[in-house]
Amino acid sequence: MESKPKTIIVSPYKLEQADLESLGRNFEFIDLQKVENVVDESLIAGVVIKNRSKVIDLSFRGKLFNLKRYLYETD
Amino acid sequence: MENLGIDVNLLIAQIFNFVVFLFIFKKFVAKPFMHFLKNQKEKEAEKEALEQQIKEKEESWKAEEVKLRTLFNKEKAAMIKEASEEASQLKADLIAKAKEEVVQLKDKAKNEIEAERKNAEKDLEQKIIDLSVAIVENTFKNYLSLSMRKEITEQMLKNLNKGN
Repeated sequence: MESKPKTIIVSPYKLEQADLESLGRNFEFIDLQKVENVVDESLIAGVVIKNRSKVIDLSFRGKLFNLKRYLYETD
Repeated sequence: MENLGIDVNLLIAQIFNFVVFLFIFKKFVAKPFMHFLKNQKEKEAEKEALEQQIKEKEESWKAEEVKLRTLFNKEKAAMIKEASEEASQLKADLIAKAKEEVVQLKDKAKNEIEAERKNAEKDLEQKIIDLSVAIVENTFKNYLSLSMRKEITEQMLKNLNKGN
């Protein structure tokens, strides 16, 4: 069985184990034994998951960024 | 005869002398002299004929010159007229072309101004969007407490679960 690579979870505050487990259930590639939780207050809320080249942005900051992009594209 | 003082012998001798003289004169003087006169006359006639020829040629040359001058003046006038017409046409063409270029430049400038205006508008819109989003971001950063952020994060994770 191939071992899963390390996952970095960025959050605006230190996540609790329950939160990490919830993330582990939702994303199969996350190995709870190899998770690093990095705190970045600029995210405001939500999390950013980084696994190898994969980046999943579930943060409030990311949503604001998407909103900005959408407004740019709308005429 | 002797009483009249006329010596017959002398007379005969004089007559003989005269005849001899006449003969000699006629043979050696008159003939060449006449020949000479004839030559002179012929030469004069030739000279006159030549002069007449020259005069005629001069007149014909003068007439030719007048003809050529007239032709030259005519052609000169025609060329000047043609050049003048060409210049007028060229001037008119240049003016028309310049007018066309002015119109094109005006249109181009108009389009450029319009494009600039649109770009500026777009730029302004984007700046407004950036500013608005920054304001919202800052507001939330300052407004949301740690517990609120935790609540929002937990809600986001719950929504993930629901989605699955």
